[in-house]
This record gives sequence, structure tokens and C-alpha cells, in this order.
Amino acid sequence: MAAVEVRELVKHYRGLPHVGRSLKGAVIGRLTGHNMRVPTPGALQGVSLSIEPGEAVALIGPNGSGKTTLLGLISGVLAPTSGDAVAHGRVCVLLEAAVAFHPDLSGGENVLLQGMILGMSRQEALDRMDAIVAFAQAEAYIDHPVRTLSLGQRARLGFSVAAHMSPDVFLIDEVLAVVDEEFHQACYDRLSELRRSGCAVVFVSHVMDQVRAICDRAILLDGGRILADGPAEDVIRHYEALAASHRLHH
Amino acid sequence: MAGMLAETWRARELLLALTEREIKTRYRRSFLGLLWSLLTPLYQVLLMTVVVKLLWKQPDDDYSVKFLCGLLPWSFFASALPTSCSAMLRARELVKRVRMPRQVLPFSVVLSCGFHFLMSVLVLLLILLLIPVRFGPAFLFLPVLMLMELLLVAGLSLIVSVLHSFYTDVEYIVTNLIMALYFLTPVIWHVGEPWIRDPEKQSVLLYNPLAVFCEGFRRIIVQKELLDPLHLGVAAAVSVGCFLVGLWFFQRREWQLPEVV
Repeated sequence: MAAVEVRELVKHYRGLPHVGRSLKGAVIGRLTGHNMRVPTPGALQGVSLSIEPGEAVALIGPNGSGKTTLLGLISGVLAPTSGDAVAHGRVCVLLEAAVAFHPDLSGGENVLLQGMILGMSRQEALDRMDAIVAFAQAEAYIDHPVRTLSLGQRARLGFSVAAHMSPDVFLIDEVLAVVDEEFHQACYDRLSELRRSGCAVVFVSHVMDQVRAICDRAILLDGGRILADGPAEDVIRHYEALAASHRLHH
Repeated sequence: MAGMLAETWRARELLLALTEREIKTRYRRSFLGLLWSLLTPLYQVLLMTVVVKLLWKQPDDDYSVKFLCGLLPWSFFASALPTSCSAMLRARELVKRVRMPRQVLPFSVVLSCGFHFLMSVLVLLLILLLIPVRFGPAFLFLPVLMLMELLLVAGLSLIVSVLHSFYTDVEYIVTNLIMALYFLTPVIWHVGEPWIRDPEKQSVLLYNPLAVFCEGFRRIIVQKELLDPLHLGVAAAVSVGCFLVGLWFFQRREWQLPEVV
């Protein structure tokens, strides 16, 4: 059974592009008779794919091509307009620690809360606390308020919580950018370990070196459609050609 | 709606952890900490008593106690509702990215304000013990009033947190409505005032559930008696109704939250 199955997935957003969905937008839309269902960046126009357990797949493509939308639909946060997206097992999203952590709480308190937000029970989170802290190499500052930590230190903690969730599907949306080289390697190792235990990884990134390091398969999205799906190296070449032709047009 | 309640129950650990975070972080960087949630109402009482005595030469000797009794249930409502408006927007990244029972976000705001409410009621009871005041059996009804108010506020918090995510004007509307309600509800005045001796007028005022909470507290603590069953019944029905409508509304609209926050 596939870890992630996506069939004929369509997602449209409602709202006027320039005012968004607000009281003002609603009034203007009503007065001008403007259709609220207009194509907006990030919409999906019919996407089908399947990801096997243990596979690591990169989603690449220009801004607004629908990568984050697809991730949101796979995790079940967004509701599809039509078609369906199913992820089997425990889905875990890697969050930017900087936005999900509370600055005044200590690292440990944040780790506990973050683990519970991602779906662990209090006991599970407490049991894994030592492993999480050790992996992030955060023993020295785990009791300090998070506002005193550097961005890199927070990102380490954030990754470490998510990586200890024992997920079946692990979703990463451009959050490995701030940590240092040494920790990158620890992340890559942890991801391969998760994959060997059957976890599927879906990775959104603009950094092609990271894509090469983590994924063997890549999917190129543009305008809400899949342009290419195959071995990472081929798809990256396709993407770079596309980006070059975009630059020519502008 | 039963499904949503069950889901909230399964997420109770998360709800409590978020509530704990709200309580801890509210005063973490202040010197007096939790004391503030007790000092603020006492300070308000002192201020109001001075103003009322100087300006209106109010003859009521126990005005301070009467005001404090109404102020505590009122402050719970007036602090929890505007704060829960932005519960989703403050947790924007979680709403957008993580699949979780999102009702715990406004609920944790309500529970943390409820915690401060409980603390201030306990302090009030402690003061009464020290004066000392005779406690009657009516005091047993205080927790019932508090629970009713909790249901009302929880239901409303679900509605305003969703509406505010769609339309940011909602917080201003709520704040302004609360200001009007402050005068409509017997907080700074009480239902036995000379200008509302007419029982009919009193009865109409008490169809407002907030009036029942404030006046109910006052009756129990000052007169050691309960309000009449009719008004208590109406307030209970409105509170439960509000909670159910809140659940229903939340369930209908929740799926759109990640697109609008």
C-alpha cells in the first residue's frame, strides 16, 4: 500500500487576489459582481501521484506553483475542491521552530508543547525528551528561554522534535535553510534512518543541493500541474531549463 | 457536534498544556506575576468606590463588596472574549500547517482566563472568611454559575475566533459591544438600585445571562440567597445553547481557516 495517494486533485482558493478574503473583499466582490472563484497562485489543477513507504520525494517548482498547497492537502490541513489526497499512518510536518515556539518558555517546555501539538501524548513526549535534546545537542541551553537562543539552535530543536515523532509520512517545507552544515548532515542521516524504517519523506525546497542530498525522486510543479516526475537529477535539469526560459520571458 | 466534543476530550492533554502556557507566559516577565490578576480587580474596586462616593454620594455602605461581586464574573467575560478573537491568527503557522483539533486554541484562552477568574473568586472567599462573613448554603451555587458562564464564553469564543479569522473587524466590534454591555449589565450598579424598584424592569434586565452571573454572585455573597429559578433557568439555557451553536458553527467553518488566516 502506498504511503501517500493523490488522485485528480484540484484545489481552488476563494477571494479576490488584491484584497484577499476580508469584509472589504466581500463587500467589493458583492458590489462589483466579481466572481469570488478566481484562479489564484498556489491553486492545483488536477494532480495525481503516489508515494511508496521509504521513498523520499522532492517537490520543486517556481513560487506559486502549488507545492505548499499540495503539502497542505497531503497533511489534511486543507480540504480539496475535488479529487482526493490520502496519507496513511502518522503524518508529521516539520515546522519552523522560530514561529511555533514561545519565546518566553524554556527550550524544554517548548519541546514538550511542540511534541503534543504534533500529536504525541504528554507521556510519549516526556519519554522522548532526552533523545530529542541529545539529538539537537541542546543540553547546555535547554532550560533557557527560547528568545535567548539563536535561530540555528531553535531550528535544531524543531527538527529534533519532529524527527522523534516516528512518523509514517514526514513533510518538510523549506525549513532546513537556517541550520549549519554540521547539523545538516545529522538531519540527512536521521532522514535516511526514518526512510529505512518505512517512513515516506516529502520535501519542498528551492535548494537543489539539499534535494540531491535527500531525495532520489523529484516532482516538478508549475501552474498547479505536474510537469515532470522521475529521478531527481533529470527533473532538476528540467526545472533549471524551465527557470532559464522564464528568465528569458521577463 | 458529539464528534467534536469527543475530539476535544481526546486532545485534553494538549488543551491543558496550551492553557498552562497561556497562564505561564502572561506574567512570566513581570515582577508581581500572578498577583496582578488579583491586584487589578482590587484596584478597580478601590477606584470605583472612591469615584462613586465622591461623585454620586452613593449612600450604600457595602458598595465595594457589591461591585467586586459583579466585577469578577464580568472580568472573565470581558477578558476572555476579545483575547479569543485572535486565537487563530496568533497561532497562524499551526493553523496553516498542522492538522490538530483547532478548537483547543480558543478554548485554551478561555480556560486560562477561567483560571484567573477562579483564583480571584478564591481570594474573595478568603477575604470573606477573614472579615468574617457567615457562609450560607447558597454559596454552593457559585461553582454552578461559574460553569454556566464558562459554557457561554466557550461557545462565543468558538464563534468569534472563526469570524475574526475571516473578518478582522470582528475584534473591534466585539470590544465595542463589550463596552456597551458593561453598562447594560449590573456591574457598577446592582438590580436593587432605587431607580429600578419596579419588579418588571428588574425581570427584563435579568434575561441577560451576564446579568444573572453578576447579580447572582452578588445575591449569593451579600444576601446569601439565589436569584429566582426563572432567570437562572433562562441563563442556563442560553449558555448551553450558545455552546452548542458555537460547536456547530465552528464545525461548519473550520476547514476554511487555513486558507484565510
